Amino acid sequence: MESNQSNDNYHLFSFNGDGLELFKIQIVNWLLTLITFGFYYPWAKAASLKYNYQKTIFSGSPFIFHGTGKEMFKGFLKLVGIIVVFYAAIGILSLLGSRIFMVIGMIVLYAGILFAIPFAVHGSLRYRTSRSSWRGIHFGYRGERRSLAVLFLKGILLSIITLGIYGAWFITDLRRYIIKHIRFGNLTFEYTGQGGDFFWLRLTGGFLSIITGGIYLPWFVVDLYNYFLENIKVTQNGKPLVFENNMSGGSLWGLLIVNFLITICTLGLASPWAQVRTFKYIAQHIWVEGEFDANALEQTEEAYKDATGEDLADYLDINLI
Amino acid sequence: MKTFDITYFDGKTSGAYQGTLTLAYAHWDIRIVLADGAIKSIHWPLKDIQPSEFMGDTNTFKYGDFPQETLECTDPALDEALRETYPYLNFFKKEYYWAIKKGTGTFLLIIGFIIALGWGVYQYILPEIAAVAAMTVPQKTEISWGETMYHNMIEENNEQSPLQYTVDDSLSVLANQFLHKIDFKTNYPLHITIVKEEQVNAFALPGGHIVVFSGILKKVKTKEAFVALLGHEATHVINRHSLKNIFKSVAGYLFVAFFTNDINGVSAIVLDNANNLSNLGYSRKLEAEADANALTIMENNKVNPNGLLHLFETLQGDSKFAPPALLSTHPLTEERITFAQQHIHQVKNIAEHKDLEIIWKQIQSQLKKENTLQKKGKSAK
Repeated sequence: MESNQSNDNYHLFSFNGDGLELFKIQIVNWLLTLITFGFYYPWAKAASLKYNYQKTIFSGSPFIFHGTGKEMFKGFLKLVGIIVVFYAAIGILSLLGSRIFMVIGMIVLYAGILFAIPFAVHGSLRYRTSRSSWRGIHFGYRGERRSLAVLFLKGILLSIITLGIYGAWFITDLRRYIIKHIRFGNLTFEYTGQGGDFFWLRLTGGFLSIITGGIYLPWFVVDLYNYFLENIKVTQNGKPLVFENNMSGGSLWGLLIVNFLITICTLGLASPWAQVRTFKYIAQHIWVEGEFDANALEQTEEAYKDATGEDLADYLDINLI
Repeated sequence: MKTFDITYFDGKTSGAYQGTLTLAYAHWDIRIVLADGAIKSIHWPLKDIQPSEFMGDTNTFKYGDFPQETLECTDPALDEALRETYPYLNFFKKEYYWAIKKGTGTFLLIIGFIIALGWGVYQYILPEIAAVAAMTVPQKTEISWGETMYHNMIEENNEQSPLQYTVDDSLSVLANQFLHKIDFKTNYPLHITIVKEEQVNAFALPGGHIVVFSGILKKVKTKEAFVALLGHEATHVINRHSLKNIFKSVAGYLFVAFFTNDINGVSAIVLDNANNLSNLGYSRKLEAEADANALTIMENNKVNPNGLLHLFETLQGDSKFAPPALLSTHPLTEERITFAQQHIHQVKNIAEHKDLEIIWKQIQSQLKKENTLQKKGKSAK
């Protein structure tokens, strides 16, 4: 199907979700999660993801999320197990009564969490990409768990030693590694951001946000988004594709304020509408530029089954993209 | 038989093939146009067609194992045709299909029901559960919690902090002597602390600490009224009202967080503040219980139960000018006054209590002394 929404060199996104529909879906999710004492959660999550994917259209075709509640339920159970062990450990430590034991125990536990993060990120990336498709072609992530863990722990360590200054380089390294290993048919991805640039961007943006009492924050967020998107280089058959966006701090302010108000005034009931507004905003303001042959992607990835990371990442509140 | 326009993907490449779909018996009949113009016919047996999650503007169906073939159809009539042709099959997930088709009114009803249910649980069931939970706490644990709270709010080692109270040592010694002359029939280690605060207030912590502000002590006219006050506060300790209140507050917080967590973090904060406000005071039930037990304590100790009425009168008289803080945590209702009036009938069996009278006089003179010192201090400035 030749898209009627995109010119030859402009490939657009759109989000066709509807607040009311999403609201109804969430009510069903909510009720089922409530009566199953939370065990429906993975199915609820699968349903919301499926809805959001299905309503996200790129160049005329929707994305599909293939993950199922059943797959994620297994990951969810493992996660529940980990949490139970974690809290049981804390409980036992506090029963021992010794302050030193407690402190050492807590350090070990938090270090354990820190170690778990790269595994969660890896698992989540593998799972999420393998379950995402567009025009029948699945995404994939081919990074190695060990390399990511080494990269992550090195970055954390250096960030701590440099009192956070290394953070910008750390995040850049992570992005470079992750994005380089994302696959989508015969497209290759690359992140060209530089730690130094990112550092100054964050420093000036953070500084301006503080001295303006937060007013500058949306412009800062837009700058960060811009920097991230500008530096993703996609190549198809040797031809470059770039992400472009025309978000502005002003329009982001508008989005955030309205979303905040409708959510607060309804005690959260209107959050599906806020979510739809956000997705629509992002889809409207981002597009891909370049010679893109939508028909020429080949299936390159194999089936992948393991969803532990998906829930772990959720619990640790890691936002991947 | 109706035919639908579709876009077909073979799962090997992203190449889109335009074609048609016919809903046949036991399979879907798909015909696509290949690049060279030839027509290819594809059969999808029904059993291997995977349901789509949601019905929408563009409906996607998958077939077979990885890498799956998919087809996209934008014809809104497909939904109806699927239901007519295969009434026994669900091509969309039932619960969500139902939800999206259902009118908004149903959802408003559901929400109304959930809110009513949530409110009911929060208002009636949660306090009961919290009360039961509070009763399971071992007394030793309760006392140690109370100690921790006490040390957090009472200033020690002269470290001045605006959040902490300053203890009036000499008044506290006298008040404790007074307290220990009364038999509360309890194994809680009751201890009273007089703090230098002009507010008309008093409160009880779990485990035995009673904190009385010097402001209320100045207002209380008789030793009987003071016994009534102590009896009332001691009951909050003995019957674990303070602990129940704390449990109720924590349970309320958890409940609100649970109910709103999935939706939005901010509204949880808003609701949590509301939760705090409503939990500042004791419930009417607990107040009535404390009054009734204060009367029993007074009767047991042969103290004139009219002291409770005197206490109420003092507080009421004061509220003409500014409502004393005590009333915000211990709401004084008409019911409480009526209750006290109705239950004070045994005014016969009353002892003289010379010992209490002596201590009470000492408290009064100590208050006077401090008052003059305070005035002198002010004029000196």
